[in-house]
Amino acid sequence: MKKPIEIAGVTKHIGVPRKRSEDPQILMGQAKYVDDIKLPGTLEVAFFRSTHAHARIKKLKLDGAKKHPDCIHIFTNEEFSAGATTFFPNTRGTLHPVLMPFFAHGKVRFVGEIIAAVVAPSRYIAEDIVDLIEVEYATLPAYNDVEDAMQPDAVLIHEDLESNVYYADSFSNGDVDKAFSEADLVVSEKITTGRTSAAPMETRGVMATWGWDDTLTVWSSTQMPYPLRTSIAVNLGISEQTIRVVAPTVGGGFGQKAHFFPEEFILPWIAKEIKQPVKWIEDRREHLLSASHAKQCTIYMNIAFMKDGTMVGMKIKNIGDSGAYSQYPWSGLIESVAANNGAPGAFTVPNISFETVVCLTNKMSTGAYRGVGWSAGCYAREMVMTKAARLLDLDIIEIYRKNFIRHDEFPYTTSTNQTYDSGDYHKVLEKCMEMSDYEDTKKQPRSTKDGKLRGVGIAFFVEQTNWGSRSAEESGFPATLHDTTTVEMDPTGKVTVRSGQFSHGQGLKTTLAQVAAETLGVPFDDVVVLDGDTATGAYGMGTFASRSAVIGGGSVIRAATDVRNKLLTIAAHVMEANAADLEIDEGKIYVKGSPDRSMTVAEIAYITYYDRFTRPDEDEVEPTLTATRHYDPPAAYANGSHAIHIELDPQTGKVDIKRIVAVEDCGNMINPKVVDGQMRGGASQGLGMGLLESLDYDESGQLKNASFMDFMIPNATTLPDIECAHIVTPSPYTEGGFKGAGEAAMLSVHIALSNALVDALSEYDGPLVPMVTPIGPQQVMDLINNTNQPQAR
Amino acid sequence: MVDKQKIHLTVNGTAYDREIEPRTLLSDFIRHHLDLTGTHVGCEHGICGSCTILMDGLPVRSCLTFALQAEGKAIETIESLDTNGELSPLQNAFWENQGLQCGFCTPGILMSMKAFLEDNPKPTRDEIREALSGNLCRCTGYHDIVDSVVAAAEAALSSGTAKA
Amino acid sequence: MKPANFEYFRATSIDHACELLSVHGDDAKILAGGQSLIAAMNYRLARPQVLIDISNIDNPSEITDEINGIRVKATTTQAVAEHDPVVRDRLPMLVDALEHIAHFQIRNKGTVGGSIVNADPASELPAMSLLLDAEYEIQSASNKHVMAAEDFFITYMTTALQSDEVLVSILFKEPPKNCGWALHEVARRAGDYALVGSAAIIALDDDGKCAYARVVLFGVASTPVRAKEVEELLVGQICSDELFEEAAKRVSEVVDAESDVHVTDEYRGNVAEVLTVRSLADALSRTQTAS
Repeated sequence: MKKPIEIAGVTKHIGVPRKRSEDPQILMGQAKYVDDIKLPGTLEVAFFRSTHAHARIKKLKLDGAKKHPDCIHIFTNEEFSAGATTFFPNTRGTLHPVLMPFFAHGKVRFVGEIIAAVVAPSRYIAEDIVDLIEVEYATLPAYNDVEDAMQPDAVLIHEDLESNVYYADSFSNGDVDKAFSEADLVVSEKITTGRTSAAPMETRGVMATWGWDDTLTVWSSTQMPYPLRTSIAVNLGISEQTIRVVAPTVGGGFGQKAHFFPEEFILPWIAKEIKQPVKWIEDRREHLLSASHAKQCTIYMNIAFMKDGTMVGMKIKNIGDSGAYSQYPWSGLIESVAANNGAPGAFTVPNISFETVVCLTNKMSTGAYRGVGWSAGCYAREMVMTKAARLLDLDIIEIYRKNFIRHDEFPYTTSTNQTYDSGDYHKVLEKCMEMSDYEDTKKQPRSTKDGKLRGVGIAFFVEQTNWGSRSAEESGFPATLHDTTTVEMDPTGKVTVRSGQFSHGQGLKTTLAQVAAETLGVPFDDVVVLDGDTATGAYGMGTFASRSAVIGGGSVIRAATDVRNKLLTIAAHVMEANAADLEIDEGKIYVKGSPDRSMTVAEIAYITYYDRFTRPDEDEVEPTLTATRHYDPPAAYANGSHAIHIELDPQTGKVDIKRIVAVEDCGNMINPKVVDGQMRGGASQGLGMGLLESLDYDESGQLKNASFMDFMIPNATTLPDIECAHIVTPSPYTEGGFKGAGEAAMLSVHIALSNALVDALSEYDGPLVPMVTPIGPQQVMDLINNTNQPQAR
Repeated sequence: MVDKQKIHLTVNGTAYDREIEPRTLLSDFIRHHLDLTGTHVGCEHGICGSCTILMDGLPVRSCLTFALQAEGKAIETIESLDTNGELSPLQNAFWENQGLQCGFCTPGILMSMKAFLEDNPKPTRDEIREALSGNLCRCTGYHDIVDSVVAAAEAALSSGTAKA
Repeated sequence: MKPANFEYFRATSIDHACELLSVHGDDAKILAGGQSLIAAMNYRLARPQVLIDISNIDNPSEITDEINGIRVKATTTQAVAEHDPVVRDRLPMLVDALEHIAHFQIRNKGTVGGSIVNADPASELPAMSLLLDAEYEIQSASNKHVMAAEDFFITYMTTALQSDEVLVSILFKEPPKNCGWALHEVARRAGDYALVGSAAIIALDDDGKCAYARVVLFGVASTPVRAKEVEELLVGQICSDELFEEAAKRVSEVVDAESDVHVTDEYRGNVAEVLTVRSLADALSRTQTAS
């Protein structure tokens, strides 16, 4: 592994909480999302989707629909299968793919699965035509719960498999049985986490057009434009050189848009078939039904403790609810495998064994969503730890301190073979406790004077970040995940950064420019970042898994350093100085110590391109100021802590969140304001998962809450201000010392919330510890009512 | 087939005459008939607030309005806030305070807050949160949006104008 | 989703709307604010073939002082009613209820009449109608009549309004001048439909005994319900927390709740009782400041 480059920049751009350069266009309403891009003659697509969760398609009647005067085309599996191959195999070689077909054929396996695509002049008319399609279904039993679908007599959702469980694996390290037999306390619980949707404000959307020159242009609200381009090439048999994929402005993704969905292949295929531009914009109902779901696991968590709080062993069974298919490309293992491999968290648990089971059900497939796997896995671990703390008459803080990996133990390899690079967990926890007045609050009585109960809860997380190949592998996903960046300086000395990373809210046009500006020594405003368009970017895997600061930033550092070095070599020749004596700062190249001996970056750039007499001999120094470098970083693990104060109404179960404190250590930060934004947004999503969000299916597989009315995400009154603080322990291994920061809160905030709830109810007979998410008023009352004591007031 | 009907209305100060199907939602009319795509559609059932525009000065959901209901009315959308590319004080406050990330919810929030601040020039943070509760944001966690609105209110007060 | 097609008529007056209804009857729906109807139409759950738009008749928002109460034109927006000085002065409990409805953007277009005719049992205005003994002025092409609110709500989203009738105005009657009132609801987020709600009005006589009591619940049955069984226990008594707790137990006689994705029927029953105690207690403390 190469040593990280020491960035030589004089004026610091990295670490500056500057405002974002992408914002003015967005604020003026000029930024273009997929549905804002207008091509003349665009037709619209509406999908006819299954209304049954599990059924054979006996008959599909299209005549009525085809007779509609404005019906242009209706496509089904019959027309489509001719032109396409199957998807790539999943990243895990031993895994049976269980792939979602582009169009359902023969059978439907979840409500919302695509059966037909209607092409019409407008979405309004397309929906009228969809209404005229008739299907005769022969219904089959639908499975909502993995433990039902796992029964030996369960009907097979995929008849080519032997069971609805398509993956089962186990791992063991140390002597778990011995640890459990020698423990003072074993706590065993079954934890179930609700099914949720990332629900970005912009739903999915795809537009495609087949050009006069036989090229295909596809706009998709995606987090992965380059891999999508490659997948379209392979699956539709079109040469990749003729495909351009554009992610325009994308209105949020959170991992949900880091998948390949059938719609992203169907629309390009239709464009090629009919030689007219076509567009599909997902509506919110479709979104909740058929954009990938997340977070639902059934976890049997057993932890063995000594009475001083030391954790001596862990035994876990994590059953992931895969939905009806294994979502491409991460597979249906994304939750459970990631959860189990990250199970030890911040703790030195020496003995661990886990079973990972992934089972099909009749719902949309499960995919990645911020904090993938860890939200559920950490919650299970932490609720068992919280219960143990209460049983051992300890504060959770004491268990944390007892079991934390110590500052001097890094790099530390956990019992699940993840190597954490750096951190100071004790310091972060202290900071969070201090900011949140944790100890003082614990000393106050639980009852407030207006009949409520107060509670404070704390949680700590270790977040695996920057999914390059190594992080992915440490999480159990042997994938190849590097990115490239091209940095070019033009004859006027201005810089273009072409990135394979792409923002869907993270401000990469700003942060990557900050890195380039400092590395190269040019003003921030002289750097432009081009991303999201495969015609102008550079090949990269995309933005997800908290990777853009490290991989995007890191590859910028490498490429920009190459350009910098080239610039200095040329400048040294032109200025008759030693390259080692030259400095570049804010566009000026000067001799260290003699700043009046200087030239501008623009002058040197111009000479490089246009003045062969002044620049060095082209056989010695190539007159180019461009570099493309890749980066596939070592794993880097961020960490942090959250504390939450609540007030709870013990008669209605209503929880009010009064304060939130968030402390994050994500190594060196490119833009602390952007990091704060990630901390706050993540906290809101974490609270959504903890308090509100659940996609509720009934026994026949119908989604009961397919609208924002009843699938509730946090609004501005759900949570208060989020007080943020940063601790910095750089990664010793990554370029820039950066670590990722995006997912943090989803590993911790919902835990802090539940811990606050446990604290608020601590005077009841118990311990009362919730083993589910989300926790609404009903779940709070269920907890309270399980007590034998009369209700405190 | 239903006959199209005439509509006359003003959007951002410009008068428009069009013929549309009655079922055309105001959100789609603005975005696709007038090509003003700054107003966004996030749910089409009135909950997310991304589509919020001003109708005769009042913030309403354009997804829960048929365009024909706006006959004769004055509509303002996000495109009316800047002056030839110069951000308004409200927009500027959002820029300075990172009151947006992906930006999809932002137009609805700006229009709602424009009206809110005109009626409430000195809001508390809690009042701002209450007023924001009809606009969902998935990226920011709302904190920075509240900061932005506070800053906009302060800017308006110090410059002596009630309008943001 | 996009709505299905319909024919659109813009009514110039209520009389005009009634004429149109008499022609199109069952195929037609009245469009006022559209905040419930258009959402249902966007989901294609409602597919009226004809829409009669009454939102732009002359003076759609009109509120008049009458001797025994306040008359609100059905097409009055919730926002206008919420800010009207007469309403704020004489019916502050109605203002409180209005402020709980959704969000101000919805209230700028949603109408008082529309919410009542929509008859969602978890919504505030039907409940306030019962609380304030409202009378509804109803008109068709052939008939005008007045119906008491307590006869109007049949079941979930269903009222006694016939397909050729329009709700024209609502008379909310003013409760005794020295009364105290309160509204309590549980919602998961600000602006959501209530999971359970309770509103109460209490007035005392010169001996400090309860002379007037009204208790209304919403979100606990297929319509809003007036808990007369609770009221009966209060009238003529000296009010106290113990009396309220005793009386509130009787809400079980009017609660007929269902479970949904949020809470169970049992939760609704239990919390209806809790909120009734709170409403009564707060109403009582407001009488003491009023007098």
